[in-house]
Amino acid sequence: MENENIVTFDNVTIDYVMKKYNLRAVTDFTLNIRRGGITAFVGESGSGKTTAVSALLQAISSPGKITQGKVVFHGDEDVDVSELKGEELRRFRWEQVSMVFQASQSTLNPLMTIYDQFYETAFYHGAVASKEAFAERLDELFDMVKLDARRVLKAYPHQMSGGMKQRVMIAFALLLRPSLVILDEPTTALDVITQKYIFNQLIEINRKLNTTFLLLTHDIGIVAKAADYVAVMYAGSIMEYADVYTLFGEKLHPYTRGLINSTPSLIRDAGEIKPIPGAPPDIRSLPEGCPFHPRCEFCTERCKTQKPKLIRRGEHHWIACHLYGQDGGEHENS
Amino acid sequence: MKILEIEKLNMVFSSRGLNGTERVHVLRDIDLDIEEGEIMALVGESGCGKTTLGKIVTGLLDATSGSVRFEGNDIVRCGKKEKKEYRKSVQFIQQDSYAALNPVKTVYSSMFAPVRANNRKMPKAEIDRMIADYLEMVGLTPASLFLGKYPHQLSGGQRQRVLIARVLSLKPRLIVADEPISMIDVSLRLSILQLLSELNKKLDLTIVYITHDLSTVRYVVGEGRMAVMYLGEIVEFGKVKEVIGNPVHPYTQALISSVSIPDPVVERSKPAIQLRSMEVPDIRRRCDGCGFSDRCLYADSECSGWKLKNTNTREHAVKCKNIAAVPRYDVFGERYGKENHS
Repeated sequence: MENENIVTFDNVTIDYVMKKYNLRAVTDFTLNIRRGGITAFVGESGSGKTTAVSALLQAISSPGKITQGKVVFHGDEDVDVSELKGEELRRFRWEQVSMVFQASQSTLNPLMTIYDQFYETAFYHGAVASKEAFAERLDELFDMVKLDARRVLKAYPHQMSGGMKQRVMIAFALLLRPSLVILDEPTTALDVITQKYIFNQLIEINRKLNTTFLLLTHDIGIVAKAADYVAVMYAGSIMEYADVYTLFGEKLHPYTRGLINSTPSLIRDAGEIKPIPGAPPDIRSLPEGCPFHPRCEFCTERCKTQKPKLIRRGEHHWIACHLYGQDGGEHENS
Repeated sequence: MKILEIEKLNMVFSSRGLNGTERVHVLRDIDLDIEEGEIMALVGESGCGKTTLGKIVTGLLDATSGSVRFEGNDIVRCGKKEKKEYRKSVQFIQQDSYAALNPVKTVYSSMFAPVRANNRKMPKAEIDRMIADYLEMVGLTPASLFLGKYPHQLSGGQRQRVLIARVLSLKPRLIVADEPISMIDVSLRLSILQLLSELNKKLDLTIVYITHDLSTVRYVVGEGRMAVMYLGEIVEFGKVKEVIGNPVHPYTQALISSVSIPDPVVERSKPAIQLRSMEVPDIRRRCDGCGFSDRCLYADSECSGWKLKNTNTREHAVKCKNIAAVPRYDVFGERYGKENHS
């Protein structure tokens, strides 16, 4: 039977080891990413979402490294990603897992036409059977992102708008039919209308191809729009993981609640919106215990000393908070 | 009372290149009145001219034609003394707080310079006290903790507060805040918006809030008014409640339907608005008629040549020839104005 998960993060800790201090970007990260659908990692800047996902591509920037745990990719067989080397790693990237980078408009080569860039990648991954078959594949891809292939393929990056380049990058990520596509803030710096349009296409593509999408974002509105499952991250740790309706419906974890309640919305009155007190954490000097405790209104003595573990609450619902511990008193959520 | 009146304002940028002079018409016949003590929002996507308009209002740019009157005085043709007074009374808050503060100056010296320049006779002790007062007014308490810090030692939210305090120290009557929260951490954004609306009430300060983020408008502006801009003109204007609850212009409708609602149930059930093209056209190739006509589903052959009429800036005003053909989009209308929706 096919594994229902596509990636397993098993107790992963990632440190940036420097002369003066050790910077822990991701702490005891344990998560199964389900096959198919869109899983979102949501968190503020510095919450570790990009670092955690870089581990999946063995692309953590130096001097960062995995100091504990492993990332397993469940492809045809289970692969420990950090053990991949040379040719294996080269093929794994983009054939199994591809990525649409943040501000990826600038990842296109300005001196090559779009066709040449697509051809080069496909050629070196042995995905060009014949010119005709490749042209057909390109038509199919550009049709998916609703771009005119004949026009776009001849163009250089500077001849396209930001929204078009972003869609080209999405087509590029899908080129080799990977089973997992990472989307790192895929629509920042785009206008609202273009943003919405691109997300509608992404959702459509996701349903059609049955590819797994991993979406990294800080925007709660986008999570509400696109995600099926959500992992809420704070200071390198997962605070809560749930399906999107449970997450927004129950708002159990104080940080999740703070994040949702502090997001301005067209339809909420000013009185319903509350900022999270305090400032985002400095990961160079994280507090003892729960990383969120200095900003949490339900903070107890236990939160200051003991870090809560991620425990299971429902079928697809995990939470790291002493309020919902097995032994601690359960907090009534009103 | 009107604090600022803008009439038939046009702005043309020209740049000399290899192929002769290129002229870009970025603002077209803008009419706008700002009442004393109100907060008004100026909303639009990148390139619509909202920042240019803000810079003209603050006197950082001179308009090509049209007039801007501040408390009755034309800001271009007024005398030296009035001009100086106007420069003090109207202040600009930049989007990028990191770039707006000198990295090698402490908060204290950044604050000190403008106060000293405008109060030559004030003793230093009094200036110091004033600086501390303003820092505490914007929530940087205790001020002594922040005076010696450099910009890189502050968070984005704190830097933005320093900018606001610096602007306030000149006792302005009108502040133009250009995307003040777009570069701040999500969880801190709201507190800056709250600060702005508090200052408006406490100091009776008039604020023009420029943003691309429609969902924040209501928290800043409250019951006030907003203008929606598209490719250099104001396409819709009115009370926030009216414009968001009952948008009439096809562009405003498209914009509002594109804003994500942080609630999956609502977000996934609201109807989408169709457009003929997703790309914002190049402002250099914009037609002289309705700028939205090439993307609008309801446009006919006359729209692109339709000479826009000046809107009445008092009520809910819309610049569209085919209003009657545009269906209503009041998805949020019902929720709007209702108290305590949850």
